[in-house]
Amino acid sequence: MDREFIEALLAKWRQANAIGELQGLSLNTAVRQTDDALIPQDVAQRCAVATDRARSYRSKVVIRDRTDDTLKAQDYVGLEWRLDFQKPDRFYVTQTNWSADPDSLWDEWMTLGNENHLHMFGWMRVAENNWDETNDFLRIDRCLQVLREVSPIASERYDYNGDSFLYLDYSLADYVEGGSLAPLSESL
Amino acid sequence: MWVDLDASLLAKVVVTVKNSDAAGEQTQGELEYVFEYYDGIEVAASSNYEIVEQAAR
Repeated sequence: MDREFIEALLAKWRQANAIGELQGLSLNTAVRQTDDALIPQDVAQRCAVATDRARSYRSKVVIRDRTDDTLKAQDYVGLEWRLDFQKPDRFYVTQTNWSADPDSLWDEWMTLGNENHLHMFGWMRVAENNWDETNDFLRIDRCLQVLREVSPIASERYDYNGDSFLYLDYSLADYVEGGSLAPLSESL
Repeated sequence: MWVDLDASLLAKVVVTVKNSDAAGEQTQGELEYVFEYYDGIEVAASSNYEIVEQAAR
């Protein structure tokens, strides 16, 4: 194996590990701090600006259905996506449907501008465009909309694995029911 | 929402849907996003993008 290949593998491993670490971040695992005078709305606005500048990101998105006991073994995760996104319009997505029968468990696709490619025994270009809605749902933009437009009802600073986080709590009922954030609730 | 204070970047989002009835409030489900950022370097899918783009030419 050459050095470039090993470095690529290591980089991939570090990326996967960082996502895994953040998955464990919660009010139960982080340590609350009380020594701050942060203004939550200022932090939210700064975060929206800085995050919007990011040219590429990876994300893991899951939907948990806690009413379905058949999903208990995978922490109630019914649907799971992995996204690699590059601005302005490059999506690489894997989708796992844990609720489905084994034949429809896994999908992998790529959207490059107006082109769509499906992975089935190799990559093939497909004419239909079935993924625009899912691609849009997976993007970070709707979350940034909340940061910009909605005031948090509570906030606390927490430390987790050596990093400092601000936890912002929002009540979105008024915004998701028929409002501009409706897709967030319709996804569940 | 969880904001990484060092980078001012959005790290994690959890949307919780609850149901209220006579027995109290119960969590029905969650939508969870975890994000990582790669400004300055390419995301892991870059090699896949290139393979697909070359094949399409």
